[in-house]
Amino acid sequence: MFRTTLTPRTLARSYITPSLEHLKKGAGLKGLFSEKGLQTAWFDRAEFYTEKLNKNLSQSEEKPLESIVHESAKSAAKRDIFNQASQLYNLRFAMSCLHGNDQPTITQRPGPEAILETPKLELNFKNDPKETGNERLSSAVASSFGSLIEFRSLLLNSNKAISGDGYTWLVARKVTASQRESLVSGNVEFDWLYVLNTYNAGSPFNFNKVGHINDLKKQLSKLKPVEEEEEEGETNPLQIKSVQEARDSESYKSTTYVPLLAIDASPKAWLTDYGVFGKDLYLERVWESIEWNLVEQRLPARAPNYQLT
Amino acid sequence: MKVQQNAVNVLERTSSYLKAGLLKNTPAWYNVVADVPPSKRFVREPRLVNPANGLRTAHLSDFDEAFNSQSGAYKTRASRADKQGSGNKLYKAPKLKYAEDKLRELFYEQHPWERSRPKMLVENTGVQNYDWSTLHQLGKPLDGESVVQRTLHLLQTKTHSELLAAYEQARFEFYRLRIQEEVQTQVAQEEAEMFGSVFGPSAIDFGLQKEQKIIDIWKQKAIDQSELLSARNSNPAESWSSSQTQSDADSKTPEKQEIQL
Amino acid sequence: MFRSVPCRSIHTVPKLKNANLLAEQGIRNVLSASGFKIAWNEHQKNLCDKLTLATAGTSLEGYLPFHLILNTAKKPFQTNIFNLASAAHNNHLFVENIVPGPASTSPSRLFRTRIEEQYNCTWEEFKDEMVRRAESEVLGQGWLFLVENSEKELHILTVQNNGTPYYFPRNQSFDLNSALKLEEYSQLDAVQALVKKGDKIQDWTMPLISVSLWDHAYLHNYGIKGRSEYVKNVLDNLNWSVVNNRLYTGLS
Repeated sequence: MFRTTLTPRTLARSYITPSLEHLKKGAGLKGLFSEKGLQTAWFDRAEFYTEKLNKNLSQSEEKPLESIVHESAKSAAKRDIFNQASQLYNLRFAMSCLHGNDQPTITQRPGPEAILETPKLELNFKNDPKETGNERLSSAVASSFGSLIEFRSLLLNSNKAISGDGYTWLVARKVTASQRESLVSGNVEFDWLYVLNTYNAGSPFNFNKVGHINDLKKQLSKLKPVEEEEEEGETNPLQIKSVQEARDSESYKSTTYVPLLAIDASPKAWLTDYGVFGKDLYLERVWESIEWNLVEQRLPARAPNYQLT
Repeated sequence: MKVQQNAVNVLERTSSYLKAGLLKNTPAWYNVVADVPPSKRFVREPRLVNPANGLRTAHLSDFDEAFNSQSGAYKTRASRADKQGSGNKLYKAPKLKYAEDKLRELFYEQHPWERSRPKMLVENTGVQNYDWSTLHQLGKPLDGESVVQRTLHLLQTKTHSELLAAYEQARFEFYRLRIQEEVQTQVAQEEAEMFGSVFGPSAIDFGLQKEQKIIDIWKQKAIDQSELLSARNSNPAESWSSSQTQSDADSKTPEKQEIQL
Repeated sequence: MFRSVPCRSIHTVPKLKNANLLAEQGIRNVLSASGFKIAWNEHQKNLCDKLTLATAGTSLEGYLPFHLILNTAKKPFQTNIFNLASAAHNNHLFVENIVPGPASTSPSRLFRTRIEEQYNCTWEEFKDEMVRRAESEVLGQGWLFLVENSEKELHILTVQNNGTPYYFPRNQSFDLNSALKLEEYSQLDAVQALVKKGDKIQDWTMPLISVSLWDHAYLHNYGIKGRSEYVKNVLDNLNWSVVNNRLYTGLS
C-alpha cells in the first residue's frame, strides 16, 4: 500500500492506488462489469480517491487505511482525510468480494419496463454459500436471518433502497469481554450477523458515531450563555428524547462490527453498464458474483450460544 | 293502471316543441337522448336461461311426464313442489357470479389489515386497460385487487391450470413487493436523517404535548383549590362565625378533596 | 408546469420545447446527446414512474411534485415519496436552466449588481466559488443551488442526495456520515430546536440556479474525475433568460 519516493528535498510517502489481483485493467469482470464499466466502477474511482487522499494528507504517516478511518472518524478537522480514506476502504472492500460469474456480461441495458417487473419467486438461487462449500457461513446466516432467502432479500432490498451513494454490509457483531468472561483477550468472536447500511463515506467501524453528537452538544452548551440554559430547564420533564436523539446518544454504545461483505449502491458502480433502470439487474448479478470463500475467511469464530433457538 | 308514457316520450315532445318554436335552444341532453333513446317496451319478458351460468331458470314438465304409470292417470294439477320449480324465477334478475369475488373474499380474509390502507374512492374516468403480466401497474396502487387480477392473468395465460396455484403465486409476488416497500421506507428515512434532515414532531410527540398542556392547566387548578381549602380549614374566624353544620361540612372536605384529586 | 394530465395519478416526463434538437445534438459545451438522454429522458422517466407507483391510489396522487415536496417534508415515513418528488422537481429546474433558448443570453444587470453588492466580486469570480463549494461539500450525490431567500439575499446552497431548497429542515446540507464541525452542529441544533417547538416554519427561499451533481448527469460525459469541470461548464452555459426570470425584480 505504500511507496517511498525520493524527491529532491525530502523523503515523501504517499498512498498508491490500491489494486486487486482478480481485477485487470483492459478486461471486464465476467458476468458483472464490461471493460468500461469496471474502469469506472473501480480503477477510476480508486485512483480518484487516492489522489484526493494524498492531497489532503500533508505529511503522510505510515498507516493502513483502516486505522486512518478509525482515528479520524470523529475529528471535523480531519474530515476530508476521513472521507477519502473511508471511501477508498469501502470501495476496495466491496470490490474484493466480487469475483464474477459464469453468465455472459450484459450488453442490452434494461428499459423503463424494468421498474414494473415482478420479482421472481424462485427459491433456489445460484451461488448459494452451501453449494460453494461454505458450511460455516451458511449456518451462521441461517441462524441469524432465518434462511438464505430471507437474508438475500434483506441484503438486496436494503441496497436497492439507498437512493444516493452508500454500501450495504454484512457484518458480524463482536462479543465483548463483559458479555463473555471466558473470552481470551485478543480472540475475536461474534454472536450474530447483521445487515447494515452506510451512506456516502460512512464506515461500518463508525456507524453510530459513538459520542460524537454528545461531544458536540457539550461543546455547544459551553458556548451558550447561561440564561438560555435556564430556559431549557423549564421544559417539560415528561418530554422524552426523540428516536433520533436517543439513537445519537444512547444506542449501540459498545457495539463493534466485523465487516464481512459490502455491496456498492452508488450509481458510479452500475450506471455505465446497467443504465438508469438497471439497479435491480445489477444487484442480481452482484449476488451471483460474491466470492463466499472470502466472506467466510473474514468470519470470526462463533461464540457459544446459550440462547434457546 | 295505465302505463305512464310521458317520461319516455320526452324526445318526441321536445322535437315538436322545437319545430313549433316553443323552445328556442336545443337542450343539452337532446342529442344524447336521441342517440340512446329510452326503451318503450313495458312488457316484462320472462328470462328462460340464466346468462350467468347458462342454466334454465324454469322448468315446465311435458304432458307425458305427468303420466303416473302406477295409477294409469295423468296428473292434471301442479303440486306445490312443481310450482316452485317453474314460474317464480322467470322474472327475477339473475345473480351475477364472478371468480374474482371469491378471490377477493379470500384475500381480504387472509389479510384483514390490507383493508386498513387508505383508499381513493374517486375514480379516474375511462376504462383502464392494465397488462397484468406484471403485478405493479402505473396509476394503480398495489393492493388485493392487483393480486386478484394477476391471478386471473396467470390462469388465462396458462401459467397455472389451477385457480389456487395461480393465486398462491400472485400472493407471494405481492409479499415480495410489500417487503421491498417496507425496507424502502425504513432505509429512506435513515438515509435522510444521516444527511441532516429534521422531521417534525411525530404523532405521539404531538399527542403528548397536547395532553401535557391540559394536564398543566388542571394541575394549576388543583393547586389553587387545595390552597383555598386549606386556608378555609385553618381559618378560625370562619368556623365560629358559622353554625354547627358548617363545621361538619368542613370536616368532610379533606376527604372530598382527595377524591377529586 | 410539470406535466400534462392525461390521467390524474400518473406523472409523466415534461415535454421540452426543442426536444428533437436536444435528442440529436445534446447541449452544446455541456452534455452530448447520449449524456442528455441519460440525464433527462431516462432519469426523469425513472423518477416519474417510481413517483407514480409510490403515490397512486393515495390522497397524494393528484399533487404535482412541488406540492408533494411540501406535503411530505415533515413526515419521516413518507421520505421515499419526498425523495422522488424532490429529485424530479430539482431535475426539471436543472434542465430548464441549461437547455439553451433561441437566442444567446447573459446575466441581467440586476443579477450582476446583486452579486457584486452582496459578495463584492464579479459573477465570474462567484462562479469559481460555486464550483469550489460543490467540490468540497458534496461528496456523493447531490445538488448545487443558487437561492434567493425572503430577504432577497443570494446564497449558495449545497444539498445532499434529494434535499429540497424550499424547506430548510429538509435542506439536507449536512453529511452526518462523517464528523461535523461545531458550527455546522450548532446550525443543525438550532433547526432541531425550531422544529421541536412546533411553530409553523415559513421558508420562502426560491432557487435561481440548479445544478445536478448526480452521477446520472455527468458520469457519461465527464467520467469520475470530471465533476468540477462539468459544474463549471454548466455555469458557463446557463440559459440566462430562464435564470433572470426567476430572480425577484419587484415587478409582479
